[in-house]
Amino acid sequence: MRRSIFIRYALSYMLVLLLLFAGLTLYLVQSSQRQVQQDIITGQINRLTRIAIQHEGSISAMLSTAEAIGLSPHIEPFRFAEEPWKAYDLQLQLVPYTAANSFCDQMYLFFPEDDRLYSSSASMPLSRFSGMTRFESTPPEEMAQALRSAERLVVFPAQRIVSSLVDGSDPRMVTFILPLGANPVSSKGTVLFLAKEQTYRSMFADAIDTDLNTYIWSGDRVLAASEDLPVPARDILLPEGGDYSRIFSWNGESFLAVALPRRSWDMRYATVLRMADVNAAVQGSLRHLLLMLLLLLILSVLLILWVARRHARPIEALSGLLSSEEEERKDELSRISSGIRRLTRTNVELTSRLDMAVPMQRRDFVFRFVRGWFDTDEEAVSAAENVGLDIRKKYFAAILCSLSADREGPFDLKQAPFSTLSGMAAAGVELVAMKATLYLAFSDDPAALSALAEMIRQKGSLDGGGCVTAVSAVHSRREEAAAAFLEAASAYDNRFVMGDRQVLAYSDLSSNLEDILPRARKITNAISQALALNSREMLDDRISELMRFLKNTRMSPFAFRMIYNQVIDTLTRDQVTRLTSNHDARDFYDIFSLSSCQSLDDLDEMLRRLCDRLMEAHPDASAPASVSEGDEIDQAIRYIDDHFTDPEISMTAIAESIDLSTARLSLSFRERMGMTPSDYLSLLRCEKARSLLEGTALSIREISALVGYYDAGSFIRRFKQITGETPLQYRRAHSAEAGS
Amino acid sequence: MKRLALILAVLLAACLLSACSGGRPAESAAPPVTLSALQYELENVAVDFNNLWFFQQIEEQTGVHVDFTDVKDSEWTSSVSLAFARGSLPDLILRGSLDVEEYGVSRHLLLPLDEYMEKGYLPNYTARLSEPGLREQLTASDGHMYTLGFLISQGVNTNGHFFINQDWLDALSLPVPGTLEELTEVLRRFRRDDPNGNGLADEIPLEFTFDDNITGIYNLFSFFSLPLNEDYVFVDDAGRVRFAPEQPGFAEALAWLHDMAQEGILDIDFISQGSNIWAEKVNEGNVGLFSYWRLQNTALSPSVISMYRVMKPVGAGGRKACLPRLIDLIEFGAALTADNRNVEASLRWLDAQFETENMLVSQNGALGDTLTRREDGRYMVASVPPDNALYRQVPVICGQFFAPPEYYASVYVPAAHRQEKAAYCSLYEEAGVLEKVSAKVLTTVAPRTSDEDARLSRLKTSLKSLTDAAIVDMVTSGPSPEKLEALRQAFAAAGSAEYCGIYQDIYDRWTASRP
Repeated sequence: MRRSIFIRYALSYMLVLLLLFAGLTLYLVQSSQRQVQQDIITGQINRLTRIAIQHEGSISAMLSTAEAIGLSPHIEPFRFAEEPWKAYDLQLQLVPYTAANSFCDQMYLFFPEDDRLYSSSASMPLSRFSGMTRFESTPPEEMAQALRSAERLVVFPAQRIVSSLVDGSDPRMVTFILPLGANPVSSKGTVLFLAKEQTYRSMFADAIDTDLNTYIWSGDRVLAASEDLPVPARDILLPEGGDYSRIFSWNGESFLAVALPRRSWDMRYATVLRMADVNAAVQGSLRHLLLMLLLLLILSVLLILWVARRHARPIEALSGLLSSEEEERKDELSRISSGIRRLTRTNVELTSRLDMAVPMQRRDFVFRFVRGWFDTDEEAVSAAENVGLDIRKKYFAAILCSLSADREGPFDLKQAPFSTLSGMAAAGVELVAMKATLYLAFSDDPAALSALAEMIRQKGSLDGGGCVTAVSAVHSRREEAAAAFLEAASAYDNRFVMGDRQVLAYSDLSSNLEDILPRARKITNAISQALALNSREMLDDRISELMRFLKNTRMSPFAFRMIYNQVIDTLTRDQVTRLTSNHDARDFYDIFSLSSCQSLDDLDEMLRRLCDRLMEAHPDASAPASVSEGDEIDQAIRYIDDHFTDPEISMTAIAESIDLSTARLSLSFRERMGMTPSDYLSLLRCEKARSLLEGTALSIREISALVGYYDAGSFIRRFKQITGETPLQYRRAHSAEAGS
Repeated sequence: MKRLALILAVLLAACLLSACSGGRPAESAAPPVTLSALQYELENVAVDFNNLWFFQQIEEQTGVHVDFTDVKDSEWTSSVSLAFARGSLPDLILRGSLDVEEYGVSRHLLLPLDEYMEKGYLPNYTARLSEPGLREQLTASDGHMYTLGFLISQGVNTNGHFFINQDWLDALSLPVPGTLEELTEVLRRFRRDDPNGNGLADEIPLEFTFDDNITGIYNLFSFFSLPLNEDYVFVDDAGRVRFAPEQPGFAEALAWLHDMAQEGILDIDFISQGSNIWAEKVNEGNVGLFSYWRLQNTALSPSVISMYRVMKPVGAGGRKACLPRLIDLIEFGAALTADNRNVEASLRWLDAQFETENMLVSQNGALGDTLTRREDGRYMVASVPPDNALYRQVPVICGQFFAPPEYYASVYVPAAHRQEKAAYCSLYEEAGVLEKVSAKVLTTVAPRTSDEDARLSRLKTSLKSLTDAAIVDMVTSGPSPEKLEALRQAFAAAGSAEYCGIYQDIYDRWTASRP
């Protein structure tokens, strides 16, 4: 059965959540039960403490009253029969003391001399008091004895009192008897206080929401009590010592007794509750707790569903990407798993196919490297690594090796090449047109490159057919790759002279060309200048001049190759590079087609085609970067063309003519023309001078004046700087050419 | 939201309807008028006024319904003050007490009722105002009557009556004494001749408490023509206010009392014993003479009561005795507040309670139950249910009642104990032993300013203290010219002249305002 990843996540998270909640609930329920019960006990302890403090405060007030009366100089014992008027004064004196003791309903002062009691409203002999006031539990003799001899607080627990002196119908009252004054021995008498048990019940009435009994014990007697529960005071088992509570059973029911330890005047304060009430409070609290947990659980489940949804969504998306239609009945993870297996298989197949294509890629790399199609070293290194080559070496060289009859080179180009040569990387490509194999070899050791060439030659000669091998000079810059190939090709062309008995090294041959190359370089420079001036006529002249030179020189094939290598190299380096912002060099020539050039006509055709393409790509023919500045540069060119014969022409004059600053003019002109306005002016003057040198018999001085120079010296230095010859040398050479 | 709006609309409509009905004139027969009332309630007797049978009867008779707000005695004054302070006045204020000068005269928050009486809105009540002395008590200082009075005239004219031990007189074959001298001799015989016959000299010829006019020794001063009361003032025959302790009879009384004390005739416990101990002693049947409100339905036991008979106060030296006189004091019955918009209905509802049978029922319970009507047309109480059960049906003391003496006597036969008291009062009145002008006129009836009230209160405290101390001293140790002179000076220093002067002003104003 298919189970979605969302359900799996949700179920897993919920399982964890439920385990956590179960543990948490168990812990909270247990601790809550303990806590609620403890809270009830603590609440009762606090309540009893409040009652105790209030009760002790009332007793202290009675003690203070007794002490104050005893110390009062206005209240002295007397015999009523002898000094009855003092009873009137005493009544007035007792009024404030009576009013101050709100806890007690009655207060009587007792003077033992004549056994008489006085209150703020009445006085009477003790015998009459005893006759009028009947205590339910205390015999009159005991009460009289206490009044006569109390040396400390004497307390009679609440009992019914029948007396016309007391308001209400036979109330229950607690009786306190205290000696007057601070020193019981020398006491003037005693004070009797009567406090209604109803006053105590009011004090106990703070527990309005619970049925409970509250007790104040004086010694082993209950002083006052409120008894909502039926349990008798004598059956209550109070905790002793430091314990505050204990549970006991009475009549088959459990009760909780909470009591304070014995306090002042040997009094204890206790309360009794039904355990059923305690348990009900616990259950009530638990209900609240469980309700809260349930709410929390619901919220958590919703959160889990949200999180599970959030977690499942990317997996579902991944599953959708990796699964196929046949796998719709599988779950997401199975689909992902099978998808990954399928991808792995596909990857293995692709890798094997790629491995088979490596020789082709390696061949492509060699072509691209030699053609100079890598813009940066990093790009070249990366491409080499892709075909198993580490070309991060200091030097490289191109090696050409002739093919055997079966068109195989000394090495199998499909295999990882030269892997046994330590510190060296090399790759080869078959050049069918040249019937040769081109190797590119990279090494930190220049000698190793020559050694490799020798090894190739020897290996190629092993079949007995001989193997022509040529090697270029050692190069270190990627941009020289084309030159390296051309050098190797040039050296390879010398096989007709040198044969195959040794490696044909370009470095061994090039020294013979020193006589030819300067001349060829001059002509090439002239072509470059014609291209720069964008002058078709001048270009045709320079190409024709080069062809005439090559034809008249009768140079060897090697020299010829060297010359046109030089020409092509200069043109491509100077002109093509100048245009690389808009054109790639590969748009203009193919080094291998150039290298296959076999005749002057081939060269002439190839050279003109190249120059045509360069002319087409000349900045004049392309859209300028900035229309306005392009127009301005055109204006500047026209201005120079119109005024180059004027010796006064200057950068300032040119700039002013097109309303540009001299700096801006120089920068824009250079961007557009590849040279400064001054260079352009010199070049223009030089071309004009050439024309005059060839076509007229004007003197050098006259020509210099005609092309805008003040003095012939400057003209001669500038002419030689541009053409490599003095004007006179130029005139002679061209005269000779014309003559020949 | 719509449901809430609907509920609010219904409630609003209900409020508007109820407001309309509340303001409808009483003349419209239906629906009945509803009034609000602040009703005084006794502290220790709970009364459900809103469901009381009596008021249901009155509602049936008048078509007026009253919503009562019950206020206990202890909270009455503050509740009334709060109601006036908040301005949320009920239509009616019933029983308790009310400061008419403050709320009626000064703040005009009570409706003057005299003009309604003139128009005949309170026929039952107004008819009884014709008896003398009533309108004066009910008229405020601005000449208007803002309240309806509460009066149960019992015909009581004094607090204490003297009761002498008839058994002892009989035992000693002595007549009832008619003079102080005869009384003194009788008392001495009581003391000396063992009238109880137990062989012990335990008789107490004179048993009194101290400073009151019921059981107190103050009553004995009446033998010397001195009506000594708890305010120590009286009005002499010339209309002058006198301070009693400064009168010659005061010293004479002290001398006689001292002699009685010295001879063991007067129980010296009077100085400090309260009424409970006094009653305890009298109930022992060993007392020769005492004063009390009456004998029946008191703290005295029936067996003791039979030993005694009333005795007219005796005069010393041929003079006539003079006891303080009580007068019927009209309490506050009802008032209409200025917020009352149903005056006629209110007066109709109140006056219905003054109809004789309604009024007697409100006080004594339903006719045929606890109240009966005699053949002569007068009503009498058949029985008094215990535990204040009457309050479950009728408002009793919290209801409206206005019965001046003549009217009351014509419609009601009082209970036996009240008849007993009335008989004693008639006896004393006939004997002419009561002061002519009651001191209650000075202390209660005649209006006084708040300043006068405060000053009198302070002066009275000092003068009472001096008076009581002098009584104790001179009764126990005897008067002397020096002591009496010192006492005179002490009274003067304590402001006795000012005390009398203030009362004189109050009395003069009152007499001047009388028609």
